[in-house]
Amino acid sequence: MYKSFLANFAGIFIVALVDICLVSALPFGLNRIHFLFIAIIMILILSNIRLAAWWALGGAMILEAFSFRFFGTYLIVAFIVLSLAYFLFEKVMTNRSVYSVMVVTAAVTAIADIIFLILDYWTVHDLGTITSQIISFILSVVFNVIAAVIIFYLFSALTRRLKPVFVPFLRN
Amino acid sequence: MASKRPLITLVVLGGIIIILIIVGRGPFSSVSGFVRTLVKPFASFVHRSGEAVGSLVGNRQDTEDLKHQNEELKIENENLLAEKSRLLTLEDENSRLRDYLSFAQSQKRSLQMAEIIARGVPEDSWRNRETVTLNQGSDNGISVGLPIVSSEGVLVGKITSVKNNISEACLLYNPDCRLAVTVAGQGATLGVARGDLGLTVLVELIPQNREIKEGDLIVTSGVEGNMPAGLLIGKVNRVIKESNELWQQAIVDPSANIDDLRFVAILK
Repeated sequence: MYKSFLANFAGIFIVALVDICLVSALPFGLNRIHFLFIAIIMILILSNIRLAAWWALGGAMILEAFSFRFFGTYLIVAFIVLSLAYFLFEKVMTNRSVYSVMVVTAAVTAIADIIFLILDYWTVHDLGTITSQIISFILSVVFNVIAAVIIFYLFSALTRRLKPVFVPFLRN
Repeated sequence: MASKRPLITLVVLGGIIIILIIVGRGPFSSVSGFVRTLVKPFASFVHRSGEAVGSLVGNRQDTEDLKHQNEELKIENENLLAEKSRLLTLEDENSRLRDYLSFAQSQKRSLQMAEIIARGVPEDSWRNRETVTLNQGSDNGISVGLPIVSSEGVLVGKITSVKNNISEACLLYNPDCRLAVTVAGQGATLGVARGDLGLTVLVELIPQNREIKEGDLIVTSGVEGNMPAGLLIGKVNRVIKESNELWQQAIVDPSANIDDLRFVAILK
């Protein structure tokens, strides 16, 4: 039990650290990847909602510690991401395939970015042009989906919890 | 009951989040301070790793472009050194005159070195050139409005938000980073400099009767509380002057290489 706790704590810590420090140093487009949200989606697929809720709460609290925006932004967004992802997997998607991961990731990324934009609007005077926001939004969805797919394939190579029938190109 | 467990989990999580937000940042601050202390030792290493990855997948300049740029920079450096020497002489003369007139000596400012541990805001790719997070905060005497300079002493931005052990600074390309500026050698404030589309620096509200031309050096005018006068911002690239407009504008090329910053100095 302690091993599991430490492993999950380390995982949350690493994912949050990557989101805070590493992602921001990546080039244009790649710096929009939300590793915490992708991790929440993967935990929902591989484990259960309770563990995903701990990841959402822990990861969001670490991000809040390094955030200068309205307090609670990351907590609210992480909660909405978890709720939306769970709803989509349970009520809309029929399986846990790579395609459903792509759809769920695109949906939660879009919603998260819209919420960030709305919350930012109250605190930031200049959000840039509409064109720059649209391009940024599209790149965010695209790169998050690509990252989710890569991580999904990595997990499918490492664990048997993802059945091969749901992983195209790996079938014989 | 089993089918309701996920809903109960979500409700409990939502309740915890609502309580945290209502209670507010205050009680959370000591916990978040501990979290930042835990993360900070790894932050610079991870950020540098990200920069290394970024340089692999990002754009690279041709060797010829770099050589050409190097030659131009050498010439500019020599000119700036000559100008610096002239300014130091003027500073010395100014100091002696102030003694004669019994003006108080200008305060010498202390420097606080800070490392950049994050750039921009995660939700907006464009603003990577506009905001940085530094590993120094109020525990080190940092406060809002303090200027941040590069290793050459050129202004790159100012502090906008402070926590106990980290702070956020806007860079010159940020439209919200507004500075009162003037032309080097002139006393009175010329206009207000701010970032323009995250790409350049624009000086606005320049009266029509003020003389400004390409190549002029733009410096801070010192009218803001924490901002000393004379900090170099950049050189005028283009002047936009329309006779039917109330104000002139000038586009300024910043002298500091803001994209390659890893360390900055905060002037306290």
